[in-house]
Order: sequence, then structure tokens, then C-alpha cells
Amino acid sequence: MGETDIGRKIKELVVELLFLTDTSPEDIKDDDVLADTLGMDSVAIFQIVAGLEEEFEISFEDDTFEQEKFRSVASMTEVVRYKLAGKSQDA
Amino acid sequence: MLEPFYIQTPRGRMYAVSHPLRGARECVLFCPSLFEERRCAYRALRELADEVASAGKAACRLDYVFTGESEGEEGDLTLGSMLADAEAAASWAREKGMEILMAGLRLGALIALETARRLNARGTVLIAPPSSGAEFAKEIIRQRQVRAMLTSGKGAPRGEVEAELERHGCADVDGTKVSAELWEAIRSFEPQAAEAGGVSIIQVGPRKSPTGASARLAERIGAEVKIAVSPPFWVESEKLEIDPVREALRSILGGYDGRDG
Repeated sequence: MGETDIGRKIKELVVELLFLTDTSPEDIKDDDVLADTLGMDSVAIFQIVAGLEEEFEISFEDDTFEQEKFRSVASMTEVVRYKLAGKSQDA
Repeated sequence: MLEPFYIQTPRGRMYAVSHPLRGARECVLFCPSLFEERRCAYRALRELADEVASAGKAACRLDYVFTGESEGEEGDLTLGSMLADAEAAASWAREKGMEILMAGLRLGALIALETARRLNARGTVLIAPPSSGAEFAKEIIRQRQVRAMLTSGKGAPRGEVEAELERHGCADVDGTKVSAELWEAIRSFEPQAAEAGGVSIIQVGPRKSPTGASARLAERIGAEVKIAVSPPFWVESEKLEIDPVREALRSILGGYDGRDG
């Protein structure tokens, strides 16, 4: 899965998991700071972490839990891409 | 009208609230979750119990002994004591001549499932259950990691609770003192469904079809899944949007009307 596809899927997940009825995935910019633009708090991040693990069939380790990595769609895309690359190497 | 009361147990007095309905033949017993989830979901469970009463059945909510308004210190809570408390509430309802339907939220759903199996309850409603106690424990740890990440920039290691339990024999989970015995029991808790009596799962979340924990648990125990597209009210008490959960509950309870017990 390419970076663009991952980013698009993450935007869809954010909209779905956070019940954003007034926002569409296209409204979210890759570099938007989600805490500022969407008011993403710990509950929201928890939902997104669980959603990303389920959607991409990956598992986040302790070292994933750094604030910078959940700052924007771009940073989350990077984390997921890295995890998926590790998964395909393990396979 | 709500009627708070106490049920005497060998562990101390258990606080309960009944939503009585004169002449009701069935009582739905609500088992709450633990930790911050119990506090967040307090109002939602009260409203769901009201929904049960408006559907023509009695309802009873309980605070396990050692939690909430019940007697005792939280550090003494065990999985066995929670199961015994649920059974004590069921005995209270049966003494009043009512049949039992067990209901529970999150970890309370697994308590309800096990209690229903032990007591041959007429039916069971599992609201947003984890697929197992191990999954519940993992999610609690995850929530801690995310909260720590937002306050200090970095999440606490996932083995932190276990390390604290090993060092001190107890740990602080969301402000609740948890014993090593309780934590280990939760992690290995995997209740099965009773042979008789139906089991329904209410999946609460954004998805419109069975997914994740609901799907895994439904497959393991052979339960039907009802969907409630609604935010997770047990982690976010400020926005209480539980109408879809209400509707799912009403639909499940309606299925018991006119059915022989």
C-alpha cells in the first residue's frame, strides 16, 4: 500500500472513529496538527490507535507512543508505513 | 422511581439501585465496568436502566463491594468477589419472584456472561464487551500509555503495571488500587456462554457491521450482535449520545416478551 493510500485511509478512519459529521476526509490536510484542528484528545488518540491496529493489522510497541507520531496524518502515515514494511519483512 | 438499597454480603454491604416496576416478572441486572470506565459510564447505565423500566421490566444496578458506594476498600476487590456480588443481586431479584436477565458493560459484560451461565439466567445482554479479560487489560494499559504520552510526550512502558504489581503487590490503575490477584484474574478471564438462554452483544462504536472484539466474542460464544453506532460513552462521559444503544437494548428485550421463560 502506497503512502497516499495509507494517508487517505487514515483520514477516513479519523472521520469515522471520531464521529466527525461536519468534516470529510478531504478537509483534513496531511500536516494539520490534529489536536488544534480537530481537538483530538487522549480518548480520540486511543480510538485511532485501536482503529489503525485493526485496519492495518499491525501492533504498536511502546516506542510508538510519542506525541510527535500522532500529531498529524503525515506523521501517523509514517508510523504505519514503517510498521507495514516491518511486517512484510517478517513474512 | 429509583430506590437505592443495600444487599448484605459476607464481604460487606453492596450498594444497589433498583428501577422498580410493580408486577414486573423479569429484572435486568446491570454489572458495571471497573476503573475510570465505571465512573464515566455511571449516568449512561442509569439511563439504560430507565429504558429497561420503560420497556416493562424491572432493573437493578449495583456497585460491586469494595467499589463506588458499597462498603470496603478497592484494594480488596477480586474477580471472585465481583462474581459473588452479581450472584447476590440475582438472588435478591429471585427472592422477589422475578426471572433474571443479566446485562453488563465492558468488563461487567464478562461478569454478566459468567453469572448468567452459573445461574441459568433467562438471557444476557453484553454491552461493548471486550472479547476476553486479557483484551480488557490490554486496553486499560493502552489508555494509560496514551494519557502519559499526552502529558509527558512519551507513553509509559506497557509492562509498567506488571512491574508495579511485582514490586508492591498492587498498582494504581486510573486512581484505583488494584491487587496482583485481581489483575491476573482479569487477564485470564474468558467466560463461556450458558447452554440455555440467549446471549446478545451490543456493539457500540462507529462501525455498521460486527467487527473487532464483538465479532471475536460472538464467534467464540455463539451470540447475536446488534449494532449501536454511537461514541464510546465509557471513556467519554461529557458527550452522552446513547440513543442507538437504547434502541438496541429495547429491541433485544422485546425479543423476550411473550417468550416462555
